[in-house]
Amino acid sequence: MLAIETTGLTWHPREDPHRRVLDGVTMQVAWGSVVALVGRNGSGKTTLLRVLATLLPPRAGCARVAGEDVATAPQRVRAAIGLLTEEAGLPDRATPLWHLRFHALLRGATWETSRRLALETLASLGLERVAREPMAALSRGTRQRVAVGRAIVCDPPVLLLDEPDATLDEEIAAIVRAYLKRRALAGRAVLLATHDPIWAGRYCDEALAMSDGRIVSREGS
Amino acid sequence: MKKSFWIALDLCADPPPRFLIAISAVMMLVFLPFQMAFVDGSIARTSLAHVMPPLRHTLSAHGAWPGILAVALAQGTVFSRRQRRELEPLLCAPVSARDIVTGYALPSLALCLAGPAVMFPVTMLGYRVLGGAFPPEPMHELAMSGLLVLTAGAWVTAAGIHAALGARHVQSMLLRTALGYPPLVLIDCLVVALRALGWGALVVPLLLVALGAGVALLSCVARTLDRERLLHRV
Repeated sequence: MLAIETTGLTWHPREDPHRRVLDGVTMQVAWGSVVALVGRNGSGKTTLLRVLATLLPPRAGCARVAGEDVATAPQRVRAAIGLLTEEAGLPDRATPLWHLRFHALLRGATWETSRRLALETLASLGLERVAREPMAALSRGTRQRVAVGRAIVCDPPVLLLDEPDATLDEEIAAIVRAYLKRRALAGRAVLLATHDPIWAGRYCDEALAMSDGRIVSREGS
Repeated sequence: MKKSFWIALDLCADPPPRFLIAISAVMMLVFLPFQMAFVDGSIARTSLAHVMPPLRHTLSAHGAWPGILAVALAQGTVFSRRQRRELEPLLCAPVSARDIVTGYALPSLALCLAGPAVMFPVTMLGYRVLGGAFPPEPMHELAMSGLLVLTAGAWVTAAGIHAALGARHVQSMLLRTALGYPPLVLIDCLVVALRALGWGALVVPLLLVALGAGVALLSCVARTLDRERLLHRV
């Protein structure tokens, strides 16, 4: 079984069936690998991640994440993924500790476990000191770190990251890359969308180049 | 249900502005109870008592205040979260549409119930202090108010959550929410009329039917929640 598998995956806006944002995407991500999606803005990377995260339904073709079909078993897919969105998407008045705890609770952690998981995740990202600060008081980079924490708080089997390099400083980017490598070694899978050739070339097992909603080339093992 | 509770708690972690809490507290604990006790109590001692229904029968309209405020706050939070793309992480978490809608409705409904529970003792105190005619069955009045307010809350909350999740602009959100109010006013008028006509026994069945309809409406909102539309209507 593959971690992620798509066959002829197609997506277009409801109101414009001729505008194929994803046009027959066929790809695989094996367990224990880190795969990058690279391409210009508008090439379909974010849409592909959104379809895999069950935020958008496939119009044609099929996609399976952790062995579950995104169209017929979305709830099981959601339980298997962690998603880092392009925007950090953090509520201003909540604290990082509560936010991570909340997402751990939604993933079935108990009240006590959620606190431990949240604190451990915050510590692993160097965020202990701001754990109880309101999100509005944090810098953009720190907020992005909290968003990374939200995606990894329950160590989901499949991690989907949209532009993880966008606002992270080099120090934290290195922590995240090391974390991704550890995850891959532990048999988990990571699919990330990036513009950064360093992320794609040096830290990923495979890079899939996208253009106009299609996979146009593959590099790596 | 557990996940709904966590979603409700997350919504409460976004505290409302202090001035709204202050206005609400003054309305609930000072203005409405004493105004009701004074007017209702005074009328009950005059010949007008035969032609005017007791004001306490419209307690739902007063008690609904905290519920309506909660709906407005929940709406504001949900709508602004949607606008700032903060709903995406919630939408790709393992929660059902029912969990999300119930979670967003719970704080409003809880406040709808808490409203009369807080207001009623103060109103009773007002009757005593202002020398008005004390309601003959206070506990019955309290229970009826709770049911009435919960019913109204279910309708307004359903309209409010639907509007917050579906509307493109604040104006259309407010307009859609306003659609929840006519049924509320209708139910209120019916209750007052039934009690004034001496058909009080019909009030509870009427309210239970209306409450059932409100819950069905909330369930309908959950069924029509569309993650794709939520993402694209920003």
